[in-house]
Amino acid sequence: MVAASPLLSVGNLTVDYPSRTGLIRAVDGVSFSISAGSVLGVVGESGSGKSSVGFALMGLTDASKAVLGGTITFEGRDMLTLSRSAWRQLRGDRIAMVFQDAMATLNPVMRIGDQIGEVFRWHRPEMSRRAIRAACLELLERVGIKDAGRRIDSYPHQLSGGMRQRVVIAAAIALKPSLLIADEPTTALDVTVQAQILELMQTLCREQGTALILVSHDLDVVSDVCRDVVVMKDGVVVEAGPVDDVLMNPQHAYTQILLKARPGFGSGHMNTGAPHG
Amino acid sequence: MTDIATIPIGTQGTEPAAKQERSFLSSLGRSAKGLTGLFLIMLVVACALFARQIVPYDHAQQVIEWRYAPTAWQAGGSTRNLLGGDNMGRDIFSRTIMGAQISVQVALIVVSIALVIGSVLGALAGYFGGWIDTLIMRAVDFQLAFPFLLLALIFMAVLGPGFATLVMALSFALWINFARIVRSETMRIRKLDYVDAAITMGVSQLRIIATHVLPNVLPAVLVMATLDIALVIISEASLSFLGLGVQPPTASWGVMIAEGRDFLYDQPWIVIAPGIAVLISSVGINLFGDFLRDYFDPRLERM
Amino acid sequence: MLKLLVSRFFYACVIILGVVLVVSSLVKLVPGDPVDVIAAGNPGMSVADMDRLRERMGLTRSIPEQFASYLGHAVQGDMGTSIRQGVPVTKLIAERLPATAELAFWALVLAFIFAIPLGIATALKRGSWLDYTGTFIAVLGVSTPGFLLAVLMILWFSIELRWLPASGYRGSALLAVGKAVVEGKFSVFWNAFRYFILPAISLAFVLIAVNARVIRSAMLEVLQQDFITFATAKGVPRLRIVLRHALRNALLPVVTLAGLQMGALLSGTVVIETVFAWPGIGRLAVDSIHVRDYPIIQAVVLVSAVLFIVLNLTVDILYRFIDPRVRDD
Repeated sequence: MVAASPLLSVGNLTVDYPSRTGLIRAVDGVSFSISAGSVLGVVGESGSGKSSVGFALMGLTDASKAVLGGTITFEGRDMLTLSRSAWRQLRGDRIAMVFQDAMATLNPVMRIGDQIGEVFRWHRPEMSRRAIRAACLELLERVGIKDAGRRIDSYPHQLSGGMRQRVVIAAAIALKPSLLIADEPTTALDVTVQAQILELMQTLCREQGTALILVSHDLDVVSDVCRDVVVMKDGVVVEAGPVDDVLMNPQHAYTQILLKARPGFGSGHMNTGAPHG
Repeated sequence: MTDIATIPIGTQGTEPAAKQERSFLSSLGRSAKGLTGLFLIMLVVACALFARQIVPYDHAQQVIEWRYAPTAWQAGGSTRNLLGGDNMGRDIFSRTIMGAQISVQVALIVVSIALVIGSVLGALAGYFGGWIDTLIMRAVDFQLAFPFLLLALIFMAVLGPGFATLVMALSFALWINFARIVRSETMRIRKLDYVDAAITMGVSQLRIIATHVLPNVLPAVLVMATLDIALVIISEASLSFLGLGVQPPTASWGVMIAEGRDFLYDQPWIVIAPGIAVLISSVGINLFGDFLRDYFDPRLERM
Repeated sequence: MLKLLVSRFFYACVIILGVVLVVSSLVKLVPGDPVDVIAAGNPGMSVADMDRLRERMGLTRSIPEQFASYLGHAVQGDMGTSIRQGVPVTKLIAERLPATAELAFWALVLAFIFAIPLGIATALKRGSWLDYTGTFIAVLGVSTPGFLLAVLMILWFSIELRWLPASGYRGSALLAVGKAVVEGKFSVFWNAFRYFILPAISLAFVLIAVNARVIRSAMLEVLQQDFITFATAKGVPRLRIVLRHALRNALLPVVTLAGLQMGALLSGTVVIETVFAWPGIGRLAVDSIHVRDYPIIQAVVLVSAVLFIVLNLTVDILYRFIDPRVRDD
């Protein structure tokens, strides 16, 4: 976080949602930054504001509903002043996102090939239909879907949960974005599949030089994947720093509680989640 | 009778109840839809109840000088015939007011018959299941294969057009609406553990239906009845318009519109007055019905 | 899929058989028989003449026998002879069915042309004046009887403005499309089509109102789904998201409703055809009831019920092709 300016820096970010009784502050003065190609974990319980941060970074907080404050600087641009069309051009191209529930993330009445192909279609208008299809096939193979030639014309309900999340990832990384935000990407999956998906995202990001922000409630997952971590509670960052420091020597009472809630805490061998790295 | 078993009922009951911090009247007071609807309904009902007191003339009285008399606000018009006179020299205002009586009468009779028959059959089918259910639901399915008006036409064809046939045909066409609602709700409640428990404890089945089933189906039945009243008013007017319902010279709105159709050029108000009357009634009932549905089923409110 | 089709087909057949049974036994309940009706119109007929006629019409046979014979003939396309006109009923219906079918077709086209944009717009601009207008139209739509709208439109567009004909039918507009293209004259199409406009709007108004509401609430629900957010995250333009991702999903409930709406259309044609002196089967039915021409009534009811069932079956199958999730079940 020294030397060259970071890929993304967030300064004193606030997100407010209007309600009947006035504004509700979901994110209250959050600051962090991430350098190109690195991996950052954002941890917290549901309602801690971690997902709101992810959505704010994507410009997905509905403009009519949420009020943003502070600064978000991405690749040297001030994101909070971007026009709608500038946002559109950025999303899916330079910044991409993977969501929690792949079944709900994919349009049930659209073939998965078309859903991935959309990314090319709206960001690379010069590509022909045939080129797009070829690119989609290649992507499906890259994310480890066997028999991609047949699967490309499948509908989401015809795939397993793990395969659907692979499809979502394929669409997200299609244009080699410099930042990928993953919001609880493995929570809806079987334990055995969780590790594979995490592994896949890590590998792809490393290959492409994509920075990854992993938003999760699961400290285990974050400690496996990330170098740095931000711990959030009630919209505020309560702890931040390198994963090892935070885990070995939690300063904040909340982090200690999160740590205690981990399965297998206290007995180094019991490990139900992903393999420790 | 475990706590768990009673939860569904409890939540079902408290969902609207929790909302009822806002009572029915104060909800109504806040709803433009509900108030407008109620106002229009009361207007029509008042016309129907006090028709004889309101009308200046007998609806069948024919006066030669009144033929095609203009409305009060048109050139040459007077307050003698507020809405003018029709092709036979009858007072359009008086006829329109009397029409309210016919419409309200038919609507109340038809919906009451359909509601009672439909609810009883629906409760029987849902509560006892088995062959009773199969028999009743087959009849419902079968009837669904007929478009609504076609069914009425068969009645007209067989029994000959007229008031009694009209009432029978419409009641027969509508009972299935009530039967379906009551059946599905009864089935849901019948499956609950505590109803089973009540049965094993020897509580009479009639009592179970009265204390558990009826209160739960009441809101849905009420909403359906309200909306069906609008449907009956429209259907009565349509069939009477075709000459298959209420017969002239009775002043039904449908009959008036049918008669006035040939004299649109000479006096459009023969058609416009009963037309507006039909609209006031059905818009009023539909608005109020919408309000009732929102009130009883908060899940739909966000729409 | 095939199994489902076969079972649905058999179910449809049972229903149709039931329709024939119920309608013909109801007609048997009528005091007096067709011969009495004919005799009432021909004072010169003697009792012996009437008996001979009964013999010839098969009215002396037992009721099950008559039923079986009617069914047997109906399957072969013979639905008896009109008492009043002395013409085969099948011929009368065949002459008039196309006019009814095309009227219903244009009404459906109108319904969707207006309902889809209205439903989308009111969903996107929720709470705006446009949305309130939509609500108003919806209430008005379900509250206005078709015949009233028809008469009021005749009053305004035909009598006041003299824009459109008040009644009548000048042949198929669909067939005229081809002719108009060949001859290069729009007027050929317009001359037929303008007779369709008022009756088709009268029929379509309620469908526009209902469908726009259904599309609106379905759109509101779909627009909150994660896959809409994901499409936005992919950088797909908003308009494209609304039309491609949201609308396709929001139209599914409308398709399920379409089958039932066919019934409303069939019922509607009965009234609307009478208003506009339209030579379709609806008006044929009403006219026949007035003169108690039972074979025609029986046939119209039968044909309508069969149409309704077949259309519902079609919609059901169509739905399976539109929604891939149901298709695979």
